Amino acid sequence: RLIVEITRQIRRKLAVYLMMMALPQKKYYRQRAHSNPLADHSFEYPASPTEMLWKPIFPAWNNERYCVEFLDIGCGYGGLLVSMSPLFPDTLMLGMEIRVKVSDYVKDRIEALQKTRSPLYSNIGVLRTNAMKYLPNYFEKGQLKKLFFLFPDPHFKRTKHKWRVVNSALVAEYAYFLSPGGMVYTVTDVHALHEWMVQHFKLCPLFEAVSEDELSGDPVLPLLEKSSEEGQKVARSGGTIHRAFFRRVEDSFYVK
Amino acid sequence: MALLCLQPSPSRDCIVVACGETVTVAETTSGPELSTVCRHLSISRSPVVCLGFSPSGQLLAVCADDKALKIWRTQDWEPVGQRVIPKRATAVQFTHDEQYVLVADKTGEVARYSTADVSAPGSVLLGHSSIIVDMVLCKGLVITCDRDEKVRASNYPNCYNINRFYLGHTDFISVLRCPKQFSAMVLSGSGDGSFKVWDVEQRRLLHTEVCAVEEGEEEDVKAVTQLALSHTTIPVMVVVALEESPELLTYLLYESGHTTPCPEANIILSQPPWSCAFDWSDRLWVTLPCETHPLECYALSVNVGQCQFTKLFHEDSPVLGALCKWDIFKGAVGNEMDWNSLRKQAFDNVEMYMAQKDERMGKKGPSPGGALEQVEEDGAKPPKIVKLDPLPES
Repeated sequence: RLIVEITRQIRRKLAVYLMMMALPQKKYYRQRAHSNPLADHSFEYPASPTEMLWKPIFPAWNNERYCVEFLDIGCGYGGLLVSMSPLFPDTLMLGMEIRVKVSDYVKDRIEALQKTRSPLYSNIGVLRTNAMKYLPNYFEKGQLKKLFFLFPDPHFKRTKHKWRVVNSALVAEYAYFLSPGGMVYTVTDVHALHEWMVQHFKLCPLFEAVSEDELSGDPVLPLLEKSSEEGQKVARSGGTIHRAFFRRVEDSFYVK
Repeated sequence: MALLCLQPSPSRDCIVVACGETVTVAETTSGPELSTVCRHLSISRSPVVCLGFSPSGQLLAVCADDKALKIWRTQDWEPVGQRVIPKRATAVQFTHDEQYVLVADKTGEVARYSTADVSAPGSVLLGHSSIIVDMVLCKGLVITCDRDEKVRASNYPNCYNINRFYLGHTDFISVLRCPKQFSAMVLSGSGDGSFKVWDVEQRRLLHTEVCAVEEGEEEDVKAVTQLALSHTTIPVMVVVALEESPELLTYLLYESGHTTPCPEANIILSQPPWSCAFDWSDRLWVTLPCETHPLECYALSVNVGQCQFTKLFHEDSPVLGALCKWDIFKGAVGNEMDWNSLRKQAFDNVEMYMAQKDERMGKKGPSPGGALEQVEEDGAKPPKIVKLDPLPES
């Protein structure tokens, strides 16, 4: 009985150790949280969505059809993607992150997960790109079903407001890529940013606000705060979290 | 540089040339005797950045670099209104009903202002995340193009509802034009040296025509800087000006959207032109930084298999004679369009990071004794150092 116990413990520790070997260590991937999205970073991006090769982003995906349906804009260290992946195994999910080190971390993390927990996690991938400029290069009209803005950079100074990922110009783009019925999830601990995002989505006739009660059955809801690194940080420091949800609707302009 | 703006309606011969601060209008007046009148319009002390006639030709809007927007009634050249807009304009267009003027600006926004009521505030219709270089209105859509290789068609007036993105160019888009003969077509010229023909009803690319290729390894491809389309001929005559090139390339655009080059009609000028445009009778007007002949005019003849441009002289066109004076054009020297500033500076922040990473992965193999972090799947915070638990008492 003693031997069984010892070997069980050794096996357990070995498993943990092996998994840790494959997984990236976050301390090597830390990067300053703020990045100027309007500067000319060097990105590679396809000239149009039809020219995009998705296989390198989703190497373990077995389906011939690559149609990303969930998009996490500013996915950070990838927490939301990792926790959503097992809930929707047949849905392709993409994270976009502008910071070099952070997007590389997510890439290494997903790779390690796919290797050690195969065939799980084949439906998530990350792209290092500027979502504010290059969404049209990757997606077709009405392609997306869910769009996530989790703890976006608040860019507090008034002169930097145009760097905010939700602004009046981009709300029209987000509406273009979401199919009618598609959902936007916004989460932040900065009240001013929450009000800003709510105001911008409300001003656009292509979105209608959705209350939390209406989403009681949505499996994504509980993940929004717990899964991301930012969310955990906020929870530890005891901050309040503001959430807002919007549904893409048809243009009422034509109903008249 | 000298901006040309030609009267769209066939009722009168009227050309507007904006060179720096001076705006000169030359028109032939009808009546008992045909005479050409040249008049100067004053807007402000800053150079003119863009101008445009309304679809009927009854109104002219001019934007200056100091954010002034002035509109004239072309009947008698009385100013209708002047206002100050918040941002520097890059393109100006009247709406179809001529009630509003749309102004695209350097910050990437398109705003709408009332033509009649100068005191009414403008409203922002749409925005790009980049400088808007040109704008046209076509089939009830507002079509805008920017530095980030994008052509966007938005519904109007509900511009928050994007109709379509037209992607495919690999460098900034410099010019947008719509042929009158094929109302659903839009042509876009780009810094990648080509122009593309799009159909906004079928919502697809019809044709790509490459006008300039990469010369050497280090050289940038010459950008398409001007596109002039004839108004009445079918097939449409497309005149293309390339960056720093004195040659105007010519193509024929067919109803299918395809274009074929017609090298026999190419025009070789003495210098790279400032601007070129067709007037309603399909004469091509070209402005050049040349002291002796700053304005040239060519008559077009399109026959089956043969196209030709014949240069006109002062005797052939009184407007040409009246306008072709260096005094009028000298203000344009120095206000050149800097196409190179629209090109992106590539700097690579990935390579250095990857080199550092490779070094790190190579030197340090996985170390069991070090502090390791665990993924959040298990939920619990792991122990810092891996060690075996003490054996249970049995």
